[in-house]
This record gives sequence, C-alpha cells and structure tokens, in this order.
Amino acid sequence: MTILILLAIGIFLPLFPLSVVWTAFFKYVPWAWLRALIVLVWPQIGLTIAFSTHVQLPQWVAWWGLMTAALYALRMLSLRDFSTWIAFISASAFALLWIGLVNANSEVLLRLQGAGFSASFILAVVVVPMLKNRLGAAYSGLHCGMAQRLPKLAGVLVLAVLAATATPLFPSFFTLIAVLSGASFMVAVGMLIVWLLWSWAGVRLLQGFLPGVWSRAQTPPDLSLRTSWLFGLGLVTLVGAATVLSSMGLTGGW
Amino acid sequence: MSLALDRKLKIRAMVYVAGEPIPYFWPMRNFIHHNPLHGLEKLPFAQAVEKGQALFHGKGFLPRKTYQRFLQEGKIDRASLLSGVKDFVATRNSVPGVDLSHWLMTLLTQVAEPLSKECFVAGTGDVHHALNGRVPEGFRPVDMDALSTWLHKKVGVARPIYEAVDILFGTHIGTTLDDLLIKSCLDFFDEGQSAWTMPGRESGLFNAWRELSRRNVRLFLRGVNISQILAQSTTPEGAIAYTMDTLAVPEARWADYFSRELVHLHGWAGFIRWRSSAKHYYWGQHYPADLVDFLAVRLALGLALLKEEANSNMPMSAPELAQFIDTYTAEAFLRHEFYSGDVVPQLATQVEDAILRGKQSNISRVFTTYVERKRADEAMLLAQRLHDWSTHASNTSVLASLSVEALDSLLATVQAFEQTEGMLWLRAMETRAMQVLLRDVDVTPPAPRDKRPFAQALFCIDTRSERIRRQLEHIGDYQTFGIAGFFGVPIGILELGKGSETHLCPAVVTPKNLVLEMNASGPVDESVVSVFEHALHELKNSVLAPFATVEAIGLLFGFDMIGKTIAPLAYGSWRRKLFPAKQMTRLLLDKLGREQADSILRAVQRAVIVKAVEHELGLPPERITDDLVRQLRETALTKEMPSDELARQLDLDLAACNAFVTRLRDAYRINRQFSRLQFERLGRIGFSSNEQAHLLGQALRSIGLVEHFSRFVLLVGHGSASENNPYESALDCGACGGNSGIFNARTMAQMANKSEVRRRLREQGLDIPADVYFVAALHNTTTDEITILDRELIPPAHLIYLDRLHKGLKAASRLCAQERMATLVPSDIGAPPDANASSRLARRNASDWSQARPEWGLSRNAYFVIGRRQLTQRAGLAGRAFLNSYDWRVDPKRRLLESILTGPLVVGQWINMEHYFSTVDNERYGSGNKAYHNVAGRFGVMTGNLSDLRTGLPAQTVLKEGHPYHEPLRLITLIEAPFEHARSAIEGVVTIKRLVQNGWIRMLVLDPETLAVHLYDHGAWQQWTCLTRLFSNPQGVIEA
Repeated sequence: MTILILLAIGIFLPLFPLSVVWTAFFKYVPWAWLRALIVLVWPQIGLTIAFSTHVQLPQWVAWWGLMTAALYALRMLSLRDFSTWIAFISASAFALLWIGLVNANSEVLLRLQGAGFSASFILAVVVVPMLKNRLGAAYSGLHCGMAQRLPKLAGVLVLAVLAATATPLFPSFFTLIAVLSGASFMVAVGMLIVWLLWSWAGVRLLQGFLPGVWSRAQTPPDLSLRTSWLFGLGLVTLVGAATVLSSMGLTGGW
Repeated sequence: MSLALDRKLKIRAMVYVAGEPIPYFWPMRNFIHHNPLHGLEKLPFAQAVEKGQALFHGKGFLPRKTYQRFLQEGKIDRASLLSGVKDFVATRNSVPGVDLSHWLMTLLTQVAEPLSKECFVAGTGDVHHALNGRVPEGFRPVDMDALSTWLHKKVGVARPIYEAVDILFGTHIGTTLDDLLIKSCLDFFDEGQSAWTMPGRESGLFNAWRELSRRNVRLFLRGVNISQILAQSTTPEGAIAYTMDTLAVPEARWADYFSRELVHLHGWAGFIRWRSSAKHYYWGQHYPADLVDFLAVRLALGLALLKEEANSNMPMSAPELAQFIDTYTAEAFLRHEFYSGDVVPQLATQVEDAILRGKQSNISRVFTTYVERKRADEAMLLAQRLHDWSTHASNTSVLASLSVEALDSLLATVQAFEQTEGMLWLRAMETRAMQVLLRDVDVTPPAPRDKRPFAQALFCIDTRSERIRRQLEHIGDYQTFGIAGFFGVPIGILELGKGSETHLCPAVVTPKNLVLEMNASGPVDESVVSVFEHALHELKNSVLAPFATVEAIGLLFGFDMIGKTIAPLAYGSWRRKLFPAKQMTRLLLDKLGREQADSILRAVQRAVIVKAVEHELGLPPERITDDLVRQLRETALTKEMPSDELARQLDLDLAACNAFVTRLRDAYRINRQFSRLQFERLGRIGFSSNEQAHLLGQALRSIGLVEHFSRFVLLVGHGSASENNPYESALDCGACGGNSGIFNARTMAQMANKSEVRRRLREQGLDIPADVYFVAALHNTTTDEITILDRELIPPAHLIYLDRLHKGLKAASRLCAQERMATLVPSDIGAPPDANASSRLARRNASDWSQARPEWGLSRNAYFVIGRRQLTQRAGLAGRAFLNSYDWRVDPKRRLLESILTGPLVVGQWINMEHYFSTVDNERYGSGNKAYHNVAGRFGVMTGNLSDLRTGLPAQTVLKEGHPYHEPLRLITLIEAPFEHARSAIEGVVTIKRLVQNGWIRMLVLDPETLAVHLYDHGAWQQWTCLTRLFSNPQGVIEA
C-alpha cells in the first residue's frame, strides 16, 4: 500500500520516471487557462495525498527528488519548445518539494511553497498562446529579433522566464530559499546547481527569441497596451503577495 | 605528404583565383574607401550585385519600403520608374484581364513586401485553389527525385562539407571554426596591441600556427585532433591537398570551394590579400602571410572539427553527403527545414522529435504530414498576397477568373520582375538626381572681371569642401577651385618623430619621392605629461604591474573620464595645454646633390653616435668632441680596430672600446652596407626644380588657374578631428591615402613660392606674378575651422591683408558649421542651432569621446562634377558633390582630363560604392553598429570581442534614426567639355571606360558649345537633354 501511495505522490510531485505523466499531460492540454489551473492544482494533489495518508517517507526520496529536479533542469538546456520547457521546469521545481516533505515541514508551509512555484509558472503559461498566436509556435530559435520587432511581447516573455527561474522578488525565489533553508548542506548544494541550470536554460531559451535579425517578411502586431498593463498588474500582484507572505514567514523564508 | 611543385603551383593558382572577388581591406590607420564588389567590376553592375549576393550574402538594393518612402519624398522619378516597368512588360507574355504595367507599378509603389517567395512545395494549381477559396487538393505524392535535386543544389554542391553538416544536423562547426580561426589571426597579425606575441611569426602564418596548434592543449582537451592532420604535411599547399582529398571534393570544384571558404571571413581574407601584396608594409615584410596560409589553416581546422562531431549517421565527405541526400531524402529535407529555420512553426516540435528519434518509418509519416501542411501554407500565403495586390490594383475579381496557365504566367512574371526591380528603383532615383543637378547648373559664361579676386583657394574635391567653398564665395571676393587633395603631388612623408614613411596620395598611386619633415625650432625637452604617459603605457603592458597601477593611480583615470564625459570641450582644451605646442618644422623637398646627400648621411650618423655615446657610456656632452665622433664613425665604417687614443678618450680599455665599436656597427647600424642603403634612400628625397615646376604647372593647368592670380592663393588640405574613433582616418582625405592633407598642402605651397620654380613656369608660359603668395591651410572637416599653416613664412607685405583673410575664413567656417549641424542634430529638435551654437557643437563633437558620429563624412555623396566652378556655383549641392575644377580650353590633348579620370574619379567611385553598399546592406557590406566595435590588432575593428574584420562603413555614417541618410546612387559624373573631347578621354582610360560601360558610374557629358547633355545608357551614348542659356536669369534650365 505504501508503495502505491508513494507512486501516487510521485506522479503529482513528479519523481522520475513517474514525472513523464506530468510532462506528457501538461504538453497535451490545449488551453492556457486549463494549463494554469493544472499547474496550480497538480502539486497540491500530491501534497494532499501525502498528508492525508500520513505515509512515512524514507530519506532517499529527498535525494531522488533532487536528482529528478537536476535531470529536468539539465534537459531544459536543449529544449526549444516553450510549452515543454514549462512542463520541465515545473517538474523540476515540484520535485524539490520532496525535500520539505521528507523533512516533515508543516502542511501549510508546504502548500504555500507549492503554490509559490505554481504561481510563478502561470505567467509563462499565459505567454505561450501569445507567442503561438503571433509566431505560429512558441518555439525558440525560429523567430529571432523579437526584441526589436515585438518589444512588448519580448518584455513580457523575459519577465515570465525570470519569474519561472526563481529570480528575486518572484514567489518561486522565496519558495526556493525556504526549501533551501531547511535542507542539509549537500542537498542545498544540489539545489543551487539546479537553480543555476534553470537560469542557464532560461537564458538559452530567450536567446532563441530576443536577439538577432528578424527574418520573416511580415511582423505580427505586438501586445496591446491593455494586455501589457494587465500582465504588469498580474506581475505586481504576484511580487507583492510573495513579499508579504515571505515577510510573514508563511513560506518559511525570510 | 610531399607535394610535387606543379601541384603546389596549381593549388596556389586556384587560391589566387578564388580570392579575386574579395576586395582588399587596408589597415584602418589609413582608411581607404573601396568598392566591396571591386573584384566583380568586370561585370555589369546588376550582374555583379547578383553575384555579390550569392558570394557574400549581401543585398544589393534597399528594401522596397525605403524606395517607396523616397518616392513619396520626391527623390525618385515616377516617370522613369513607369518607363522601366513598361520596358519590362514588353519582354513578357500578356496575362488575360491583367494590365501588367498598371499591376506591376502598383506592386512597386503600393505593396510593401515582395510578393514572390520561393514556393518549393506548393504548385500553381494549389495557389489557384486557394485563390478560389478552396483548400488545396488532398494528398499528392512528392517527387522525391526533384526533392533530392533541390537538396543537392541547396546543400550539396554549393557549400563546404561542414556547412552542409551544420544545416542538416544542427551542429555549429562553422561558428566554432570562425572563432578559432579569428583567434589565430588575432594572434598572428597583431601589430603591437598585445603585450605577448605569438611565437615563430617570422616563419609565416601557416608554419607559426602549425607549431602552436600541435601543442595546443585546449584543442586537444575539446577533442579536436589537429596534430593528426598536421602530421600529413608541413606546407600549406600540402595541408590543403590533404584536406580536400580527405573530403573527396572533385578537383574541378576546388576553386569554387575555396571561394566559399574565403568569403566566410571576407574581412580577414581581404586584409591578408592586401597585406601580401603590399611590398612596403612593415608587418607584412616581417611576418609574411597569404591567402594560401589562411585557407590551409581554415581547411585543416574545419576537417578536425568535422571529425570531432562525427557520428555514425553523419556524412564526412562529399560522396557521403550526396549518398545521404539520395538515400534519406525525406530525412534530409526535414533536417534542412528544421535547422535552416524554415520549418512550419506549428510542426516544429513534431519535426524535431522525428529527427531526434531517427526512425525512418516515423520520419516518413512526419514528412508526409509536413509536406501537406507546408503546401497548404505556401499556397494560402501566396494567395493572400496576390489578393492584397489585386485590391491595390483595384481589380479583385480577375485573379479568381484566371486559368491555372495564366496564373502560372503571372507568377513567373512577378518573380522575374521582383528580381530586377532593384535596378528600376535605382535608375529612377538616379534620373531624379540627374534632373536636380542639371536644373541647377549654370551654363552662362562667367562675366569678365575688372580686378583680381582678394584670394583664391584650392580645396580638395571632397564633397565636404563644397559647403565651405560656397560659403566662402558668398562671404566675399573669393574664388575657389577643386583639385584632388594631394594637389597632384604624390609624396611619401617621413614625419618628425616617426620611424616609417606614410604615402600621401591616392591608394592607386605609389609615390616615388620622399619628403622629410625637419625640426626648425631646436631641441625640446620631453614634457612631464609625455613622460608620464609613456611610463603608464609601459606599466599597462606588463604582466603584473596593471594590478598595482590600478590601485595606485586608478583615480586619475576617473578624473580623466569625468572630464571627458561632462565637459569634453573645456577639459580637452585644458588637457592640450599640458602638452608642449607642436614644434615648428620645415619640409625638405629639394633633390639632394651627391655632396649634400653625403653630408646629410654624415650628420645623421654623427647624431646617432653622439646618442650612443651618451646612452651607452654616459659621457657628458662637453667630452663628446667632434673629433671623437669623427674617429668613432671612421672606425665603425672601416673594419679597423679602434686606436688606443680613441679608447683613452672614451675612458675604456681597448677590448671594451672594440666592443663598443662593434655595437655601433651592429646595433646602431653605422656600417658600410647600411650607409650604402641609406645613400640610395636619400636619392628618393625631394624633387628637382624641373619636377617641382612640372607638378605645380600641371596642378594649376588642370583646374584652369593660369591667369588672374590673387595676392593669396590658399592650398587648403583637409583632415578631421575626433576622439575614441577608429574610423577617424575614414574622415580624412581619401586622395591622401586616408591621411590629413596638411603635408601635401605645405609641400605644394613651398614649391609654388620658389622663385626658381616660377622662373621655369614662366618659360613654359605660365606667369605667376611676384606678389602672389601660396599659403598652405588645413580645413578641419569636423569643426569646419580653416587654419593657416607656416604663418611665419608669409612675407611682411602680405601681413596687412591677413586679418581680412582670417575674418573671411572664420565667417565661412561658422556658416558652414551652421549648415552642417542642422543635419547632425536629431530631426525632432525643432529649430536648428544658430551659427554660434553650431560652431560650439561642431567643436564639441570633435572632442567628445562618446560621440559616435562626429561628422557625416562623405555621406550623401552623389555627384562628381568635372568642369568650371561657374557651372555649380549657384547650385546648393548640400555637400553632395565632388567638384573637380577643369577647363577644357587649356587641355587640347585631353591629358589633364585623362589624369582626372584616372585618379580622382576612380577614388570618387570607390568612395561612392563603399557608401552605396554600406547603406543597402549595412550588416554585410557595412560594419554595423559602431557602438559594439572593438579595435583588433591595431589595424581593424571587430563587432564584439570576436568577429570578422568589419569592412565598410558603420551604421552611424550612413543611417539616421534607422533610415538611410546616405541616398545610395551610383556616382553621377558630369564632364563639362565638348562631347568628342570627353568621349575620347573616357575611351582613353581603360578603367573608367569599363566602369562606365558596366554601369558602375553614370556618365554625363555637358557640351559647352551645343549645351547638349549626353548620357551613357543601355550600352551607348545618347543625347539625354539640352540646356538653354538664359541671359536674363543666370540659371540653366532643362528644355522639355
């Protein structure tokens, strides 16, 4: 029974190879709103199973979680499809929740940490259809020179990637710090490597969109001012909430 | 592997041929404007542009949108455009229901983007379906043979093997190869920028690189096994042969293959090509390199990198590549689509997955899906564009009613038209420019003068002189002339304090005579600041010192930085005061007699010996007697042992004295052999009186200045001043080989003021009155200031007029600055600055180290006028014309005209073409954004820290606010002379004849006797228009 429970948690807090369920499921969901919802709910399901069954978790699972996070982070370096990239970074991030789970952190704290990661990925999820509508695909390396031709969309994309890669002030950053503060030295080192890989993968992804010379004959319309403001508002809300929650110690961080 | 001599020679010959299309790249210290397609000038302009596109991937014309903007601004002649369209339509089959002239004209003027794009998958039938609102027909099998042929053309034949691998397998061999090669070039060609230099450079590029690469641990660590390749041959030809044999490229394709390899880094290749041909170039003499070396390094590295990337599926040679395409055509196509960036975005993930999995059944399935989607996309896109076009042409229904055959004919016509439309735009733009020029020329004969002008000024033909000449003539009684800025005196100058000779003449000329700049103000102690600067330079270049230096005196740099940034003008002025004023100098330009040469040689050797005794033995000056120096010199020149007496005078024992004398012979080169060499070199110094009279006479006659000389004849050379600007030399005088014209002006003035020279000229019928004084001056084109040089030599009787001259020059400068600054400030600034503000702004530009555009230079050049000044005196040519004064009446044998065509016009054409191509494709033919440039090896610039040497002009020189500031036109040349006279001169100069016939120059001849204007067009001379002389209104007008 424990094994079955572990397998169930391993699907929702992705552990390799069970994590393929998450990545496959995420990629094939067609609507952005549904993806956003799934990103929010998926780790919470895993946490619910874990806390409702009170299953005893062995220490090695934390290492497995870290390895899963590192594996996906490493694989992200060669990804060009933005949707897959989001699926992988979320798998990598959710896998890190195992560290808190094994360390028996409080349920509220872990749920907030899960929500912190999820919230940061929602921005990226929202950007995917924006890219697809204008460029045909959210695929890095096909449309260089976006920074000059579509500056607003390029800005939004950069912010979304920064949010996803746990850049300071975004919820994922505080969450990562919270998980890091409760980890052993060696695990912390591993997590920092994962963080480094996320940033590297983020830069590589942006390289395929922003710089270079626009090669298509037509330039699609940029984001409207209204959409840009809406995105900005979402961003401020996210950063504000993260800062407030973090200062209250609810994410366990600073 | 040892190659036979004939094979070596054959490879050398192939590399030579392969390198021919690549233009020379001169070191930027002496920037030479050049045509990036100079190697293709034997072809007609349109063909050369097409070939340039294939070779250099550079565009030959502006985007249609930009031409449309020019059309709206009235810079393009619509009638000429329409005429071009009609000429084109006459060569095509008609399409039922489509008025081709109207439709194509609409396409040109109202549709922003080109319509035709290569549709490989979709056929006309698919487009026809799409036009009629139907989806393209269902599955249609792909002709795999046609696909294979297409792939061979795209990937197989035209590209080097590694490039094909990159495009089929997504590797980055080409980029890595370029990076490694650039690093090697930076190491080898460094001209003193690096503190540590590459070892073994004396043995040549290939040998030095080979020795280093065999021990290169970094290459070894990354798995590049270069040693194995280098072990096959010790010569560059051997390495080339080995690589090509390994890649199994058929020998018939080698020359093309080499071309493709060389143009990858055409900046470096152009530099090496020039360097290997420049016999006088110091660095080239000491560290030899040629294109064979360069290619051998490139090929060997390329092969090593290819082997590093090798996997089981990857083709490693030409036959394997061909086999891969033939066997796995579908996979090759998908790979090509994906890695070339042409993939249908919606299917990118599927294609990538299929490629990475490598399963042929999966690839086959994805291929089928992909081709269908691509076909539909291509058809829909083209149909949409055709529909938009028909809307613009106000005939939306006709397309749907066309048969497939008619649509096919229409598409073929559009494709052919869009391939040639660049020339239509260009010709229409040139037509307008010619109309503007001829509208403003004044063909009225000049009224006879009752008194001579206050001053006459000879300016360079440079376009920047046009403004200042116009202002000067407007200010007062000044007469100006245009002459190539070296004033017809090709010289090599050995500047005071410089160790090498600089050529001051057009790049096409090699000077025979040398002029020496001599100190005329006595010895001057080095200033404290100079000593400090020198010490700082030494510290910066050592290994550890920079760490301590930054801590110790880093703050000083901070002050310097703040001063230069906050108040460049005031700070620059204060900083200049720290350095001693420039020494007074004279030019040694008279031919030396044997005795004089001997005496000079002796004087130089004596000076060297005095320095040597002071430095090596530390004797005080009072003990270094003339007799001691004489003894030392004679002992060093003969192979005798020094005497006891000499040793005693030097406070040395005999052995030490002998060692010192030996050192004089070896280190200080006081020996017979070097003396002989120096004696020969002294023979190059100066001009004989005959030569001086000939050069002066020829210069004056060529511009028609043979009588009515003013009291002052100014010889105004020009130069520029800017800070932190690697392109500073590009703003200097092109006729002086990218240097300031200061020495040529001084040389000519010195010659012209000699009574002996004037006497000889008088004998030839050219009488320059005794009260005429030639004054050298310098026009700073950045600030527009004109400075009179060698003022102390002006005769006292002329000094009384000097104040008036000064005031006139200053007023003209200020007005010129005002005119120019209006073009330099941002367009949305409102009212342009007044004369005062403009003058200050111009001076600030010259001293502001953050100013990326200190002046426009020769941007917007369009015309070259060879004729009397009256012709263009009343036309405001806005600094767009090279003005070469010429009076055909004093040139019955056409020699002067031929001379103008051979030198100035060729240089003008190079300048014009450099600006043309830098504007139409600034990234490829120009050098891109200047802000990212870094100086490479002290001879060029790169973008970022590693790139090809950037040739051409930066964006800041030709673009303003993202749009072309320079209007790219072929040089419109107007010769004022009887038609037969001009035609014969053009026919007589082969270079110009070829340039005119191939359409690199638009040649107009204005016959002053008939007022007919002849144009060379479509391979023949034709009368283009006829001007009329209106005596009531002194303006020529074009007859309808």
